[in-house]
Amino acid sequence: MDAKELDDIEVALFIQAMQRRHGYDFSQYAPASLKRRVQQLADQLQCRTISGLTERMLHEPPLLPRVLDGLTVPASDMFRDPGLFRSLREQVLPMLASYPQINIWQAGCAHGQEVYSLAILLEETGLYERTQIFATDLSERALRQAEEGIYPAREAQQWSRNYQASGGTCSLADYYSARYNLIKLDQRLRRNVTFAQHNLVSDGVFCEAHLILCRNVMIYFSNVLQDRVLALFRDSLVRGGFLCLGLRESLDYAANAASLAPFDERLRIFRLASQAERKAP
Amino acid sequence: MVSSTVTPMPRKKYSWLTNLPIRYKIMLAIGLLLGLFLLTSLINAISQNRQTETRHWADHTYEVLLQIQGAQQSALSAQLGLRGYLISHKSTELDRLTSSDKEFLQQLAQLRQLTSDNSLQQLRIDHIQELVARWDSEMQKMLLVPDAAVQAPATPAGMQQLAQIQADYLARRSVKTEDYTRVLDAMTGTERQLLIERNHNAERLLRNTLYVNVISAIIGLLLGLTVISLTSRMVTRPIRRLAELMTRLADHDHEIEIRGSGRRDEVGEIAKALEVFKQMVIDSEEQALLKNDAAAISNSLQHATSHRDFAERLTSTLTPLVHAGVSVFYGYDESRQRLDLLGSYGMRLQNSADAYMPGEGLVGQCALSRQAISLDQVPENYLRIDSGSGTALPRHITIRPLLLREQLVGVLEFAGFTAPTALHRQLLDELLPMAALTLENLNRAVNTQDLLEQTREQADELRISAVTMRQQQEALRNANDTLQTKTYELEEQSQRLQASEEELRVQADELQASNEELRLKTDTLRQQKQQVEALQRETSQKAEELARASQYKSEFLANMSHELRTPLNSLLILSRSLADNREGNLDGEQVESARIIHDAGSSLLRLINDILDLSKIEAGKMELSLVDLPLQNLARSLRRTFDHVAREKKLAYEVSVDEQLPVEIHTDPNRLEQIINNLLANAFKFTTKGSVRVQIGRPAGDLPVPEAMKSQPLLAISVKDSGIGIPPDKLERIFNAFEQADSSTSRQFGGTGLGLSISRRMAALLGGDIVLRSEVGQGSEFVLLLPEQAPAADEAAPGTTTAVQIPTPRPVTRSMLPAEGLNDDRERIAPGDSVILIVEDDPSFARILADIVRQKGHRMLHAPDGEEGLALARRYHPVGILLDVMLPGMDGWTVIERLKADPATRHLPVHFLSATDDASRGRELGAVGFLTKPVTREAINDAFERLLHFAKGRTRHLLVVDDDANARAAVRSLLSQDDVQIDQAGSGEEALQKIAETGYDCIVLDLGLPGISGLELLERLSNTGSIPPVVVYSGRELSREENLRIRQYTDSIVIKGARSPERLLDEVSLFLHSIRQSSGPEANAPSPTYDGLSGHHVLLVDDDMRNLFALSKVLRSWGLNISMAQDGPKALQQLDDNKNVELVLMDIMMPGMDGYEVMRAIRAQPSLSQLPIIALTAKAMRGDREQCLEAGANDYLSKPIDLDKLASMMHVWLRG
Repeated sequence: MDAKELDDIEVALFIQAMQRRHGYDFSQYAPASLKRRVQQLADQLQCRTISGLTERMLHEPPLLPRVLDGLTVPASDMFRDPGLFRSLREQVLPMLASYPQINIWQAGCAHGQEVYSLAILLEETGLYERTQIFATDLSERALRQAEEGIYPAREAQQWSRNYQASGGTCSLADYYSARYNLIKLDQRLRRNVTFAQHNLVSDGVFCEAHLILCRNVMIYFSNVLQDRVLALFRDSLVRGGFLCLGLRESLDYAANAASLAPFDERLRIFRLASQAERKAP
Repeated sequence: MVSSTVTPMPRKKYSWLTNLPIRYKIMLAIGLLLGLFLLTSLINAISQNRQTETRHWADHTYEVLLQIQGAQQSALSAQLGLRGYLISHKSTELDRLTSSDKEFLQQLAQLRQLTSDNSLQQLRIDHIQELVARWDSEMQKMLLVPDAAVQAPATPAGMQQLAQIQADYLARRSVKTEDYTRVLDAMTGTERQLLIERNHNAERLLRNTLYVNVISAIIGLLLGLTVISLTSRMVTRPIRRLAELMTRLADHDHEIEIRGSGRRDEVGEIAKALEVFKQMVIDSEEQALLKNDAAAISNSLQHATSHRDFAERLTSTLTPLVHAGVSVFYGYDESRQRLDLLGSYGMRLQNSADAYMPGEGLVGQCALSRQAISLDQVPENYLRIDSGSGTALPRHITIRPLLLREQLVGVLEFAGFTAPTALHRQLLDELLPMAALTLENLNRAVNTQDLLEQTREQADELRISAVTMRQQQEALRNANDTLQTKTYELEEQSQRLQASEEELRVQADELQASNEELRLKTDTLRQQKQQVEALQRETSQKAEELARASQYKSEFLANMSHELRTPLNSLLILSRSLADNREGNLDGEQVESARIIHDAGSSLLRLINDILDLSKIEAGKMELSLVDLPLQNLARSLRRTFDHVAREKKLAYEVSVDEQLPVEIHTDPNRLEQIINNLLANAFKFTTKGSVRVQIGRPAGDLPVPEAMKSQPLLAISVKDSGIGIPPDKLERIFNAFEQADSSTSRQFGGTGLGLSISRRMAALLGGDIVLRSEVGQGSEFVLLLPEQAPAADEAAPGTTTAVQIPTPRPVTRSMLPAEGLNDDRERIAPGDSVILIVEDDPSFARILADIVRQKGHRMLHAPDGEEGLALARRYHPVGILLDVMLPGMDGWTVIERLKADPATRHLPVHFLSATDDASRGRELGAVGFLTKPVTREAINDAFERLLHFAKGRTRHLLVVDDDANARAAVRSLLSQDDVQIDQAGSGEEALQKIAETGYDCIVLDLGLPGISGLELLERLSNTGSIPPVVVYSGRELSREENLRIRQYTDSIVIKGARSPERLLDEVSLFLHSIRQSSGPEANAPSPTYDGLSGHHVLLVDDDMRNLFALSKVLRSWGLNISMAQDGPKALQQLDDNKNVELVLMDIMMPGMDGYEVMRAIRAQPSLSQLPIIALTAKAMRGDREQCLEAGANDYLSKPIDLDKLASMMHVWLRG
């Protein structure tokens, strides 16, 4: 038996242990990337083998948020892919402006960079007051960090550029205060945001959403899971609601994708096809 | 320098007294004087004593005298008392008497004491005592007692008695007071005498004393004088002299002469001591000078800054002091073991050697031996002492080493005319060690200086290098910082890279996977292609043959069907009309005839249909339209269809559907029903008593399932009857066309015998089969086996298109009737009329259609062929077109294509009426429906409904309600299409009115209206029962409360803005264009109804309004009263306001206060601690349930909500 096979066994056992011990089911995540991340996590926690990681995860409950954090990669930027935000600003939000109330669901918000970007966008288009943003993620740790809204200052440059490229009307610095090599985003951006833990693998619909953003999350899922998540999104969206995916994600393999029509193919913005049936809540 | 000698003085001879030590002298003198003094004092003391004694006796005497006087007084007093008493007999006198008497006795006692030394006096006292005693007793006896015995002293008798007694007493007493007072006098005299004597004695004594004092005074004086003079001569003067000398000595006068040192007394001693002292002073002064010099020199040496300087100072200061003429100083260099000449005094330079080694020369010798060398006899050829006025050989040479702690430091050589004195030597001894020390220090200092120099240089170097190092350190630190920054950046970048790497990898994986698939597919395809090519060649040949054959067949079929059906159509409809006898002008027989005609026609039709079906199936032309069919619908329809037959034949009829079946199957419902109907018809036909049962379920285990079907999930629809049964040998044959079990059956039971074979073939088309079991006399069971998913019909397509390309030239028969014979309404069309266009070449049918159209209140246009139809369509824009396929010239397919190709007519709904059965093609081309002739009236009616639903003619009324006329105009222009009739209302009241008159398909409502508001309008509309779909089009933003209220009536709300027209159009189109089925899917689905829940009051808390309204609708249908709240605070408010809430359904994920917080807040109120709360959560993780329960929920359900489960849960928690 070679090392690769051993690794596969260890990863499978880890996933099973994770599910039985804490109830988080990672079995439907894309195997290759999951394996990589499990190995990385093992390295970071100084476990010699993945089985060592499993042992620690089983016997040290306080380690769970760290493990969840490690398995869900949270690297992100504000206004990532500025073209998308520009399109949101110029195409999508004007459409949403015709609704009396807007619910936006950010699935997999990680450390919250995208949530705050959305909040800024909504403020600048004057829609923030009637919007409720639900920012969900699997990792409690990431959510707590997102709530704080504190980021390293060296990121601010790139983010400011992104913001400008996305059609921002002011300056990103208007929304944060800087100190000790950190920037802290304005508290006011958070007033209509609800951070909550939500597991795309197991949990259900909790709101009717006019816009759902789930970017660079589904690439880590297997096709089956992707299909499930799409069904979840489809059930959550209102008539004519929008779904944004990451630029490298595609819907080709999912059966439930049939109910989503492309709105902007290049930027991966989709719209709920009007003939879709909505199941009872 | 002082030099002095002391010349001793000759000794003197002194007297004994002079030699007597002074203390003795003084003692003598003082002793004499003291003695004298003592003597005098003694005498004085004695005399004093005597005097005192004398005085004492004098005092004593006085006292006695006083006492005697006192006694005398007492006696007198007593006497007085007696006399008084004798006179007056008063008790007071008696008292006085007694007391004086007593006193007298006391005083007498005291006298006795006082005179105890004088016996004479004692006698006298005794005498007195005796007298007194006698007196007393006499008195007592003779006077007092008898006095007392007198009884009544006051009476004259008494008084007489008293007087008697008194007289007796006076006469008889022997003692009188005077007796003893005399004695007392005598005593007094004696005493006085004594006194005088004593005084004389005292005086005499005094005189003696005086004499003695005077004499001793004189003696004393003489003695004193003698002593003084002696003392002065022998003690005081010499001492004073000595004191003088001492003072002079103290003043540094060293020339004093001391006398008297020969004496043997203290003076002599003092003189001797003084001499010694003088010498000492001299010496010490010399020493002091010496030390001073030494110190000065030493001090000076310490200031020397170099060796030369040192030597210079040493020699120059020391040489004159020791009275040398020349001196040289050699310093010892330890490292080189050499004595170097460092300095000299008075030397002529060439005479000295610069250096000596230890042992060399005298100097070296001195150095080696470390001892002083002094030479007295200086040889001739030694150095000479030179001075300006001459030279001479020195007499004395002294060489001294300088030693420090046994170490040699240097050597000093003196040469002088005189040998150094002791003092000089002393000086040298004193000085040289200090000089050595100083030299040593100097050495050290010089060393230190050198070292300091070195150190300074080194320090400089160090400083320079330190500066360099600091610079380097700075540079390093900068570099470090830069590196650190770069490291951070690199880390960041690497993280980002990692993330994007992830994404790319995943993408790559997906691409790879799809590549694989593609490759496989390509391979497969290639293979298939090859096969296909081979087959193609074969088949193309065969196809050609077949094509030809089937072409004939198809032509025949088509012609047949059309030719047969067309007249039949008319026949049936007309005969039906007659049979209906609407005008009532036919009698019973005629009606009967009409009915018979109709029946016959129906049977004929059935036969034709069967034949056509069969041939169609055989030719492979039968099409399937596959949809999802709910099994319950099928069952219902079966029940419906045969219910009355069963009742007529008095047979039990049952249709059941098994559990655990899928809700729907994918098949062609029409064909399926046809098959089952056929089977049922047979069953009913051949059963006279008993029952007919239909069971829809899974195939029973013992059922012979054909091999090909075993691999899929199958449905078994079994039709079981209790009829005549089928003999085993006929089981197979009955499926053959035109066969019946018994040729006689057709006569008895009717039927063409085609049904079963058609059924079987149709079953095969649906992917299934029919299996038969039967027993003669018991009954038969026909089981239709069906796969849940019917295979897609792929063989229908290729054939159809080729076959149905009917060559265009039409048989002329159809144009027999005049084309324009039909009197249509083209002249009479008014604007606003709904017009139906009928394109049909068969005049009779056309007429029928026309009647129906007119009956429905529409205008009718008729075209007998395609071209005219197109022209009419373009011109009049009918609301709908009924189109026949078989037309002269252009056929129906072409017509519809043309219609759809033309933008002006594209939107016109088209309904096909055709003899051919080509529904799918018709739909593909965009028809809204397809009817196969012959058609029943009902079918035609249905077709109209569909048409007009799509046609937006009668319906497709849109009402725009807005008080602003400009806004209304804007909406109108936005939404206007040819098929939309737009009405307007400027107020709620106007709207209500219009709605009452016309049924609208959609209302666009502004909220801000004068009079009743938009919201009120909605409420009123909903109260009327049927509210059309409303799109709320609001100019202002809505609050959450308003949103909630409006959501009760519609979920289509558009806020005016830049892009709102798009949205408005979408929403309106949705409502206008959706097919409203008479029973919506929700109502179809059996919503569970639960008794026992109605009347209870439930609070729904959810921020998702969709959920809220959907759930509230369901709950209301169960009879519950519902309150709603969109968030935590509102929920709590509701619970405060509304005390009869019995159960709360709580959503968990809400913004602001989440469900957990709300539940905790509810539980915190004591009055609500028992309120049942069911949590509804989208989360399904293991810990979520516990969290809900912990926060206070009684139970929990996860979304999507299972209504049955919810109902049972509510049952549980609403009880009690």
